[in-house]
Amino acid sequence: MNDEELERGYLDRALRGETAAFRALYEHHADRVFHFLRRILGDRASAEDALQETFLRVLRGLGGWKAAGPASLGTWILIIARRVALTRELSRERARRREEVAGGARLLSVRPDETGDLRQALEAAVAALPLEQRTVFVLREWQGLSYEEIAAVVVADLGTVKSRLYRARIALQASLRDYLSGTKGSARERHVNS
Amino acid sequence: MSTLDQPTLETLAAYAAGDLSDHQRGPVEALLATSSEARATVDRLTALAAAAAGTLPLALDPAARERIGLVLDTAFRRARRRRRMALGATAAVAAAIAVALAWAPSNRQTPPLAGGDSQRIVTEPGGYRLVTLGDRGVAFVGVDSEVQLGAGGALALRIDRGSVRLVVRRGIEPLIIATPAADVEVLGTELDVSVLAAGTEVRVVRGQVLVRNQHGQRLLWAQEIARVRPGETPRFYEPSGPLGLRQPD
Repeated sequence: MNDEELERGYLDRALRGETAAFRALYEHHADRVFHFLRRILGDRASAEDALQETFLRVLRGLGGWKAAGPASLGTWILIIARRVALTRELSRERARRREEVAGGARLLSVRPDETGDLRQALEAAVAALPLEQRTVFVLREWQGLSYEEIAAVVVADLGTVKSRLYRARIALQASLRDYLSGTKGSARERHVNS
Repeated sequence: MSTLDQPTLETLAAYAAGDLSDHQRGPVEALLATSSEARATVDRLTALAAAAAGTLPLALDPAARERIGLVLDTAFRRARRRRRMALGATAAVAAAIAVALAWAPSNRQTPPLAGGDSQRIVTEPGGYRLVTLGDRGVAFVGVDSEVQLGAGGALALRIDRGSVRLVVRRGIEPLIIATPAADVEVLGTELDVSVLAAGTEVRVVRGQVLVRNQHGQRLLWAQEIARVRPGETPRFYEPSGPLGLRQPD
């Protein structure tokens, strides 16, 4: 039995009222959804709250998901997670803007810190991206979704998804210039060799 | 600060991502051959992808995982209890209607729809019928109506004339109610469907319903009404007076 069949079995049993089957669906998707929410929302506590809210919404809408529809169950859960994160992040953005007006501008570039850890710097730089760019970057780089799946999650066309992703990468390579400069192994060589 | 403009930077990002065709790569590689800044940008983009790929997933704390799981278990049980109560209430209403109808000499309850059955039901100007739609719900066929019960499967009912009130239990697959002007797709809800001289009218009491034909479709929410004329797309309708099943003369 593959993952999809197993998931379908849990879904059918959950729809028949088996608590353990819904718990199994949650356990199956929790890590991936949490990772997405943590990247979007930044802090652990907010991501845990959002994870709980996401699965409560999944519970309410479970009967409405169609196996024959365009989105897999995993993508459908990410669509819900993104909506939850969007709502929370927009209210935080508003609060942040108020703070900026009161206390100065937000950090725009990331400099090497004492440890010089590129991954930490990358996480900080991603957190500073505009929400739409951050979402597609996280879905692509850290959730491994295809452009089509990202388009389904963020409700946008493929061109928009790619454009947001490119802009995110351009912004990140610019803000992490000091970390990334000098790193070799270019895409040019990949293309030339392929 | 980069001297490359935004479209050029986006093209370089697409190039680094491997999203360009052979034809599109040519001009980019010509630029890379002459511009050290473009080369440095592509190298940074490539290093960025490698750094992202090397970042470990952020794990959910086991205690938080369990805490959220317990909240979901409780919510699931509550939802199941509410669903059962709602089904019980629906069944009670259906039973009450059936009992009431049993007193009327011209009315009788049609036996539950069994697999392979296909029945035509015609009510006269003074009569009603209550029919069950397998295990998915009940249909209350109004006065002076003519319907064909589906023989199992997604097509539950075809309404040729008159009005039907449906109470449908939520399931995985939608039920289809066919009418001359449009099909009505029902997942789990309560609604009235009337086949009038001017077309089909659908009124949603609760839940959601999709009304569709080959010209278009309309999603209806609770308390919304759609009318469909034959050969036209379904449209929202604002009633001037109360709707519902036509009453006996």
